[in-house]
Amino acid sequence: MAVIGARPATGIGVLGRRPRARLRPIARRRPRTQRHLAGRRNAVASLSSVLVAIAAAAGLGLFYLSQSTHVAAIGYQIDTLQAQVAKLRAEQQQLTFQIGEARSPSTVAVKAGEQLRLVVLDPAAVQFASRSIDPRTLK
Amino acid sequence: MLARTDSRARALFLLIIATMIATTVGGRLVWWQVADRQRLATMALSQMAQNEEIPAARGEIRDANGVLLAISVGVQSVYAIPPTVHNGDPEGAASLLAPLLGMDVVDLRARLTSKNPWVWLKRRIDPKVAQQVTALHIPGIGMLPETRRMYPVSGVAPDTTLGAQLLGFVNVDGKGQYGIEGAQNGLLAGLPGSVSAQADVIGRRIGDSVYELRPPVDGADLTLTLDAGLQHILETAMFGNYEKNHAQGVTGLVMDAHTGAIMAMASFPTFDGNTYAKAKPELFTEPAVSRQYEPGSVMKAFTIAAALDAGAIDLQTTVLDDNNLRIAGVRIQNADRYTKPYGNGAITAGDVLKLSDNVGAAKIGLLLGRQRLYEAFKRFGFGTPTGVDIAGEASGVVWNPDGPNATGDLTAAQNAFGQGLSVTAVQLVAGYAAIANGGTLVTPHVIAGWTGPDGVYHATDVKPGERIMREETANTMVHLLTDAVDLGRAQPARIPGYSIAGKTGTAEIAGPQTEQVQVGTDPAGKPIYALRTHLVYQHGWIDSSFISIMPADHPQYVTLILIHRPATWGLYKMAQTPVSLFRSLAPQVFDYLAVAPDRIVEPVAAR
Repeated sequence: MAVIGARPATGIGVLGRRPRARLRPIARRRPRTQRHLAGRRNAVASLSSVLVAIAAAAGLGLFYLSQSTHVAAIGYQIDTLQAQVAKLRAEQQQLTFQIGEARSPSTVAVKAGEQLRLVVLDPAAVQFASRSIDPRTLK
Repeated sequence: MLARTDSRARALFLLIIATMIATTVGGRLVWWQVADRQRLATMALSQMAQNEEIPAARGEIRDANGVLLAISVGVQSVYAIPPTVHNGDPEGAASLLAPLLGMDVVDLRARLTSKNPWVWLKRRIDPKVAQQVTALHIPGIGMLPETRRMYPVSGVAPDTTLGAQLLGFVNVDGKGQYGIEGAQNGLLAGLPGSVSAQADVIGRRIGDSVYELRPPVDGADLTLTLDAGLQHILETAMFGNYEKNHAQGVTGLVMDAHTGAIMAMASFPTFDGNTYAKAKPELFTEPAVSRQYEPGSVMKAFTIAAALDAGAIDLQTTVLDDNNLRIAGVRIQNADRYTKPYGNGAITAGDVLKLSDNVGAAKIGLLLGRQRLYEAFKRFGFGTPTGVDIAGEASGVVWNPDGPNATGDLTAAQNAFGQGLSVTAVQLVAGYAAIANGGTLVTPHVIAGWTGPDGVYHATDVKPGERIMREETANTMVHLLTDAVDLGRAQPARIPGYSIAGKTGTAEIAGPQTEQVQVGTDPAGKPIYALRTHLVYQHGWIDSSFISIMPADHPQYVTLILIHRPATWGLYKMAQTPVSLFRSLAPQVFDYLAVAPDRIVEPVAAR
């Protein structure tokens, strides 16, 4: 059975032979109700794809929004932590300063006098004892 | 029918008006969105953008043993927004804040009610005070973080910090001034960073909107050659002397003779680095490096060293001291001219040092030759800054005797015993260090090294010393100076158990003197007088010093004690001389630095 619109079984179609005219199959018109239903199906299908696309875009948008909100929130957290670090560093510096004050010779001298009842030695009061060995011979 | 036509006309009219409005608004929107977009976008960005400088942490300063001498501490500064305060209770706010901030109530009220939109109340307050101010919750009063340079080690004198003039301070703009802070500001300050980002409505940086971030580079931590313990000992001794003598100023210095490392440097009067704004500005410079003075007899050692090194004299060469050397009409005499009016006779170089003989030193200087003496002084570093790493160093002045400002042989003769030229304390100590270490001129320095932000320590690259005299000459000079202490005028400086080489020095100070001089005559032939001020040596104004090399048998340290204009009551006498101060100071220094005695100590019973 010849197929309408098919190339001939013999001969080479590209050698200049004019192909037979293609005959379009005569579309059988569907009934009106059927056509209407098909149209609605197509419309529903395209609407659903649009809705899916919108939903996907909205989802992506929400994802982006949540991520950027998350990043911003983390940014604020970092700022807060940095402020805490600065505060702690300032406290550490204060403590270092207080240690420096406590270790200063003046403070030690005052505390030695007040708490330990020590007095500064008067150099004139020093009496050197005799030595049996010449210190220059000591290595 | 007519009404319908009117209605249409009105509708048409309204439509036209609405269209015109819509066109105008739309056109404007299009203009903003398309044509003027770039400018507006830039404006919007600049309003939202926050360009913030990230300050670099200033480095710490520590002494040779790690004792903290300077640190930058995070503190709070109090500000006010007067319009906000004004809406509340400015009177009450002023009365609450004034005692906390240590401010006058009236002044504070004036600030709180000023027309300015924003004012500082007090900057860099104490953290405890900051907490108390915060607890008050006064509307319109806030605080901003800043840093404050603090010097934790208090000094010996009331309201002073240890080594304040040596360290300098950091001003309100965070810039180092004077001393080490000033000289090493670049190293200590670091490089501030910056951040550009969008800010939200309350000025907080939005995390993911950073356009540009340049992190700061913190300043380096400095380690000094200074020893806080030794500095305390020196300051205690110098402050006691300053008070006893009612002096204009005192300076003490201890230096390592071999390296030029300054181990202690104390001057009075001084100030508190934490409250520098209350101090007189003339106290900010370190006198040991910035004050030039006529050194007096301590220069005789350099005259003799130069003459010995050049072969102009030897230890047996004698010069005649008749206490009457006249050059260019000026008579040079000795300090002991009242007890020995005819001088000390024929004396050697050693005798010149022992007797501190001016005439002998002048004659030795002239034997060497005025140009060679001048060149020798320049070799010793006088007249040129030493390069010490402290801000404000002066160069001193040594005149070329053949130059336009000098008087030939007279200049050389005066210079030979330390008058007519000026030096700084640090130059003098560096010169004696060259004698002590065998003839090499050292570069005085106070910075041992620095630690960068990466934690790597870099030792200071000290310029190698230049040989300025033969080792033999230097050793001979140490022996002569030891004799000057053991047998000469500086005998009170002897320390049992230790050999000391040293030289005293006293020089008169020139001061302004105003005289009435005739400058002409008027047409009637009457004389016209004018007041003229010139410098003359002032009676009783002296700089008195003692410089030592210790211990002399194996020199390690050079010390200088300098008293500037002590109260002498016109008799050239003072409550505590530099030599007697040295006698009380040196044992403490030996003890602190654990220097073993180098001489046999006489039994107590034998003395």
